[in-house]
Amino acid sequence: MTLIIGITLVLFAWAAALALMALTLRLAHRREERRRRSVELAWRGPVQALVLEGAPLAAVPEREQPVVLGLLLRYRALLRGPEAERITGYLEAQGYVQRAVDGLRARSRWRRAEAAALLGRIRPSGVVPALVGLMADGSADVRMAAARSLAAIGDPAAVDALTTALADPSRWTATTVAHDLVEMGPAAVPTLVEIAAAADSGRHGAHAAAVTAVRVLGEIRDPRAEPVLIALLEGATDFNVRTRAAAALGAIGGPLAPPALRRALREPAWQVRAQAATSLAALGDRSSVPALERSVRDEEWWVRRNCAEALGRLGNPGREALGRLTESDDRYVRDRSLAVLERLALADGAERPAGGERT
Amino acid sequence: MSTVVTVVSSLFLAYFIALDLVYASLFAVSFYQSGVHMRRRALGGDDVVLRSPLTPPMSIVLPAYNEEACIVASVDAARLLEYPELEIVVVDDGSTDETLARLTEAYDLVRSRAPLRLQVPCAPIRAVHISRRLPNLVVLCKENGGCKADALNAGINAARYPLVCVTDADTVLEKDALLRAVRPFLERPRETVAVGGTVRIVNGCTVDDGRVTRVAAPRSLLAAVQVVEYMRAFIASRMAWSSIGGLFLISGAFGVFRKDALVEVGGYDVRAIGEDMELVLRLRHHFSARRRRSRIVFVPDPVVWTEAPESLGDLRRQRKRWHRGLLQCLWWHRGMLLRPSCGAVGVLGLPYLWLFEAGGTAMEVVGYVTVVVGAVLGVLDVEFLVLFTLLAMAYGVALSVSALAMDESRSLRPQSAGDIGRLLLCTLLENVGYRQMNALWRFTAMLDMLRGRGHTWDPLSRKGFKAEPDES
Repeated sequence: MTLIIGITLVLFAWAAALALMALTLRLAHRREERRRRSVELAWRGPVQALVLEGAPLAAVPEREQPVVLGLLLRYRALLRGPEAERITGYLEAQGYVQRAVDGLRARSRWRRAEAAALLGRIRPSGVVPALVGLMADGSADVRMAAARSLAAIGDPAAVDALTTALADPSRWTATTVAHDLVEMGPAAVPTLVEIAAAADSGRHGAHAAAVTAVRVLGEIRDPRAEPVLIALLEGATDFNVRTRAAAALGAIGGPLAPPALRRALREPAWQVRAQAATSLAALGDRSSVPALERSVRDEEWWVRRNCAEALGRLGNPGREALGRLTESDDRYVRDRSLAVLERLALADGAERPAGGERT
Repeated sequence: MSTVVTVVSSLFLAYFIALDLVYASLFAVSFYQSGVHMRRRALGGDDVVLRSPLTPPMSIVLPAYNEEACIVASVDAARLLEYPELEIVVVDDGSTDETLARLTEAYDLVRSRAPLRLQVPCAPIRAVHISRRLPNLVVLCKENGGCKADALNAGINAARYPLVCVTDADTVLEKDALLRAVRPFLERPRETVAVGGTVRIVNGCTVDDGRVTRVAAPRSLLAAVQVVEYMRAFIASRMAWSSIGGLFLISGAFGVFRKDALVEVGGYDVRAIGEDMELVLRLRHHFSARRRRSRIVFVPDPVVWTEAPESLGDLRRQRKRWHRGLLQCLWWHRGMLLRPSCGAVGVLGLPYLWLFEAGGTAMEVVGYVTVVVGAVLGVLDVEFLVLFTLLAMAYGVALSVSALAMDESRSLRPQSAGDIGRLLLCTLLENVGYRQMNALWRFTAMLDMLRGRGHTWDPLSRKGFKAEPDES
């Protein structure tokens, strides 16, 4: 009995304490928010003078330092040139950079990740090697933060480390890096081409890295990637790599891309055939109309659909082909062609083709 | 007879202790996991999802049956969601009101002859409409299939993209909900099959242009108690089940699925009462039977808001339906129970559901009967009964307050101190009266099932978001 009474009282006390904590937290949060706003207001002028004119900033009381740091980092994200350098210089002088670099060796993965993220926001020079070193960290969160910071700093020395991370076991890190590499643009192309070319090397992670590299190459749209993409489209063992190569070629183009994509309309994997049709439309290659018109009768639904859609994007020759297909004896081909023509008519603001009806 | 009562009492006590230990463990795991999640969120990533070339496009399916009052607002709200490439598929499930007319008027719909590829079964689709104004809007008109599952299947058929978000036309999504929900698909694209998010109660909140602009506790006491109940369910339980790989439910109000997985399992089962749980269990069963790795996860940040019933009648119907759905799912998927190949769901999730969710109702009833029998026989220890009841109540309150405190400390949308105080009071009400009422409803639902009167769909009466004006 005494035990039950004791446990009951402890539970009620626990509930009461937490209830009190929730209420106190809420009130404290509101008070803190008001204080933060007033501190920010007080320091906005001096901080702007520092950023815009290089005027020295008076010593910031310790309690107000996080607010001032937040303000400076917001300006740092928006500015370039000497103003940005003044902010970085000030934060370096105040020891923030050194503390963050020290934080990269912390035992807690969150502290390491936060330190890496802070460096990415301050963007000082000279921390790239430390961040590159962090790309081998055991924690995916730390690697991701380091990758983002390297990309934010934008140092060409970081390209190799970033592209290597495309094979990271955490696909989230790879996603982050892919996004960052697109932002870095042409500087990343040679390494990306190497990674893509190694798709069938058999190395651990090479395949996943190649798929991502090919997608990034398609986003960067650098013509230097065309030969390797064609080689992958025609020779990669994995259909996913070939599909991505077809998509990237549709974005990049080049003289050799349309014939390669037309050949891909006859390849065994339907995913590649479907993507090849879309890519031919993206390139606006009107000489592909006959090949697409043939492939509208493909055995796979997505290929037929994409071919009809592609014809709709290839100007008059494509529309004429669709017109012919509306008389096909295949009901699917007929309906799909009519649907594409209907949509084109809507886009043109013209009347719908015969048979279309208003809802 | 007194020996029987003593044995039953001891069993009941053991059951109570086991249940409380399970709840405490789930809460502890959730507490830890949500801390990890918060720190990860602080490192950012939404911008990556928004701009990454690897973010897969998504189709959002909005099933609508006689939603003329809110369908245009729902589509407008979906248009404002932050996501790089989003297709909106509205399924007019044989509405008898002006749902289609409202859509036609707002988006200038025209009938399309584009053929649909029917990959999962659904009632006949009468027409497909596309919009002159919104290229990413598709409206399907189909014959009424008698349930939401059928409408969702039609939407899955029409969805063009590899990810399909399933929601309700009257659910409000936070603008970044899809960005947050897609992250697990980017992290582990081959394994992730489905992602669920947190469902919160919109009653009392201010909704402007399809967005919750101010969070507040509902004025209706019944709805406020449900706020606490939802917090406990989502914050203190699903996070834990997800982290141990045993998540058995993705709420029908919001879930993102890989379309190929949905097609592979044949979409939603139109015979299911709880189609959302049934789908998740079927996905688990399907992939484990084929020894393919699959991941079904809960992410706390994609928050969606839904309206809670404010009348006892509506609540009773809803809860009875949920319980019937649970029992049906458990029976249909009994083959997964305790099967190691089904992973944590088979070994932990389903036993938990059988013992504490389905069995809990029976145990509660046994408990009440024992009390009555004990009193009649004069063997009832009244002092013990009172203390035990107080203990059970204290535990329930402590758990609910803990969930509330955890939510408050980690929420991106904090409430006012007054609202928190109100919800704290509701933690008491939840354990005195509300829980017992629920147990009774669940028991009657169980009897209904046993008598074969399970499968009926009782629509709830909705007030609509505009019926709850902000008066603060």
